[in-house]
Amino acid sequence: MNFQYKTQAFSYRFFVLMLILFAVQILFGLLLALIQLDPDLLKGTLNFNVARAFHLNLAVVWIVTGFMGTILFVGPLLGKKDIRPFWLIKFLFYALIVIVIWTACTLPLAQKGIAGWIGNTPWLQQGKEYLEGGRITDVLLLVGFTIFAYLTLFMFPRKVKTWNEMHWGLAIGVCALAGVWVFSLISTKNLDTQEYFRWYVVHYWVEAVWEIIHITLIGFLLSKFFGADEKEVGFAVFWGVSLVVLSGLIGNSHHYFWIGTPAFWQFWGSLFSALEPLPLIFCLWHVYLDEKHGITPVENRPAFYFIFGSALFESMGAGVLGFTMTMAYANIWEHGTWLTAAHGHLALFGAFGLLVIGATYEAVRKYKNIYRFRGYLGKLSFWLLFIGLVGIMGSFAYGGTKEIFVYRILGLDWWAHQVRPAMANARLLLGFSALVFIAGAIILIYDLFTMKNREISEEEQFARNNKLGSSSRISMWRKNMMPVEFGIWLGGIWFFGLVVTGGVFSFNLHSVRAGDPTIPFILMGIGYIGLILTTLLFAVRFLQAFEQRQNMLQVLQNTDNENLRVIDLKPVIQVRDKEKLILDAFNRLNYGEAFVMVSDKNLSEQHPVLHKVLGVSFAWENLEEGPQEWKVKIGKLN
Amino acid sequence: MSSFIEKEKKARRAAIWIIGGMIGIWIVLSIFSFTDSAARKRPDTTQVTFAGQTALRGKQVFQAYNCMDCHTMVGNGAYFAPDLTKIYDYTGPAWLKAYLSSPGTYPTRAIVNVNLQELIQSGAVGPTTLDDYLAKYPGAKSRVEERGGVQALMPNLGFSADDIKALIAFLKYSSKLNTGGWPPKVIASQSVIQREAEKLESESGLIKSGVTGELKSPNSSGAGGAGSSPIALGKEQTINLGCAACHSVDGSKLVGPSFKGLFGSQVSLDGGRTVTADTAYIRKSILEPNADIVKGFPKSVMPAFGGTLTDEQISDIIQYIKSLK
Repeated sequence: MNFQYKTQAFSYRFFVLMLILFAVQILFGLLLALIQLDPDLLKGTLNFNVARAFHLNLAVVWIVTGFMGTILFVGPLLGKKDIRPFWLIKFLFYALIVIVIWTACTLPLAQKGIAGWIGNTPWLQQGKEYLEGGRITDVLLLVGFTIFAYLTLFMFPRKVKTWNEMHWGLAIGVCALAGVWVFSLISTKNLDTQEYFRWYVVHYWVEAVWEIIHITLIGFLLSKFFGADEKEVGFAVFWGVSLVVLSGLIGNSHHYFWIGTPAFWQFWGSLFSALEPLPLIFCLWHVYLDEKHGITPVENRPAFYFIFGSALFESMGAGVLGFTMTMAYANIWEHGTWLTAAHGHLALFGAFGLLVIGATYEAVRKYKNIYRFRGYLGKLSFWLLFIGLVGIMGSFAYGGTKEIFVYRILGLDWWAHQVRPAMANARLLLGFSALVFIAGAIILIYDLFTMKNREISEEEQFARNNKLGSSSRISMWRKNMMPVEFGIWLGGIWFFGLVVTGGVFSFNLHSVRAGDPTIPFILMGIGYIGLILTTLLFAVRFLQAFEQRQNMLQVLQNTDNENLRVIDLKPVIQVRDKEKLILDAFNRLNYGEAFVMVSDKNLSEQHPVLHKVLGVSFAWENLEEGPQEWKVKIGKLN
Repeated sequence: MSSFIEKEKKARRAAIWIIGGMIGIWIVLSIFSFTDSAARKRPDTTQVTFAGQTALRGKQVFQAYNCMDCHTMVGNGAYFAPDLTKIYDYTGPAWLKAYLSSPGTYPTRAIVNVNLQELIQSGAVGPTTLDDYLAKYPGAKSRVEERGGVQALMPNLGFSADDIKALIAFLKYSSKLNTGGWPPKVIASQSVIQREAEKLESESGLIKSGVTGELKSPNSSGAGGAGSSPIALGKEQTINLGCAACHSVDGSKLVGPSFKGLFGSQVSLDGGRTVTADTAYIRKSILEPNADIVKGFPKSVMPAFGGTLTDEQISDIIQYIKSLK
């Protein structure tokens, strides 16, 4: 183990539990995809609704377990102390297992129609989507979340005044995790109030509280990975969290359009939920900025892949896909169809699942005391999960588009012979995507448990770096991504998102409602395919540039600083001449090569200048810092 | 730099104030969400009843069977089965009662009628003819005509008679919810709908059932040739009535006991008695299904076929059951 704090070691067992629950959850997902293909499969033995209850609840539980693991992993670094008493963490861990087993025993009771009603309280299971566990489960979870909030706050400094934004983000997050969960204990007699409060948990809890934790954790992990400035990350965390609350608090009411609550929600919900993507774009932008901060190579590239994927899917899956369906005139068509599931899979697994997997990579590496390891399996699993996930999303989007036409526009409701055949191809695609996804998950779990086998020693690394070497040309894909290009990619994703939005809106057209689906089918076809491809290509582009940058940072680590070309800035007086000199030297470098600047003044002033002239694709290493002479090594990355 | 920090501090303070304002708006809206006004009255599960069951109990049954993780209710749920919000307005209570008794098969016209008569007799619905009922509930009409006797995807969950009534009460309640215009009205013309439906049905390989739902008497003109033997007629009656939805002819257990090998067998009843399934027993079971419930099967689920069948039709059915060795 290679931890600064003993508390961090406890995160490992949470991550192991998380992976087990994750494996079971996606097997239920596969089973659901198979039942979609053959509705008679396991009928009477394990009905679709019970399998789905497992799929949803496990999704929530494994991600929460992952959050707990992640917070135990980063919390001590943030609070600079251990949790006491340790037995409480152990207790929490075993309690979690007991709750999972108990809930797994109660969910199948739905097949017998047993909910354990006493008065109007369902103690055993309650048949509410996402909150299928009964009141006993809810109460036990509340106790668990309360303990967890206590443990987290215990790690933080006593003096609240000394907290930075990340302390606040996590503190608010873990307290709200317990606080908002209280609404799951509410049992009302009427359906409208029940659905109203159900969304408090499903939306405020999952989408807002988790979001706050998510943004904070991403900020903190990136500041550790790339040495990003704590103040800048704090800035991002504050505004990210504020935007989540600003847009999400009333934005949540997009769930109140059609559940028997008044129509004024349609206005408020449409307006504010349309703003909900803002914090998510903001978060992705900061991942982009932070990634360029690092000047020492990241030793755990798979972890960054997953963290980046998390921010990307949060922006694209939760943000863009959420936007396409959130305004009342679009939502009226989308509501209650597969389109919701298209958004849901990316917003839950894509945003939160990938983040905790990223944290798992880092925790496992530390736990197994591995410094460097070959990341190819982790990256392979990332891409398989990525493709499987967008495949699942695409399948639901495809099926949902057909469903809206058949079920809503034509009003056909014969499931077996009218609605199902319309969605037949989407179901096949769904099954296939699920298999790709599961292949990725198998590799992921294998890689995490056998990471030690792929450890590489320092000598091996040295040899590998030399083999990488420098090069005079690199492909377009590996070049540094400038902010403008980042904006173009994001614009592309939003463009196709807006095309989809237009498609969903176009169901309102009279010609479409009269029975001609051409316009929405074309718009949504182009939109979804474009959205998937742009997202995929953007991820490839971003991570290729990341790979290049990291490779070159490694190569630069190997170079012998004694033999580098030296640019002496001492005799140069004019600023313009200095810039020219540096730029010329830089342009003459191959990728992976470096020169040394020497000056009698502090060169750190030159950093912003270089930034302006060279973009951010250079490596900067201080070799000597005064008082007579300043020496900086400048390397060309991508 | 310090001016930047000052600015940032101001901006943050403003953000926190705006969030505070938002919370205010949100609280006000939330309160108005659940206050009744003259224009808008929320239905109440404790007030809406059906056949003596409250919608509240129906809601509890609905949750107990986790209906929401296949169906959707007010659009929330699993999208694996139809939305149920307005189904009461669409198919009416008699169709729902018939269907929920044996969800594995769509009810035939005759079965809906038997259930309707039973509901009328018990006073749960006012007096009406089947034709009027079907005219009032277009969903019942189209489903009886197009799907009567055809297999459905839903598993048999074994609802009790009270469960069924309670579920109907809850669906009656949900139909009353003001869902703000969702789901949107269908305005496509019947010809377009028909065209698309046929295309999809042919893709699904649907074999039209040929169940008419009409009962035939031995003297009716349609019965001739081989079809006129009592066994053949009895078989036709069981198909048209929809008996097969609950009673298999291959020995497998559905909602009710299988017809196969039934005649002459020893049947153990609820309460410990054992009887021989002879003509008198089967006749009684058709006319008063709840008099003798076979052990292990639900009570009050089968409607009484008293007013629906003539003596001749009943004996044809018994002849048919007798032939299923």
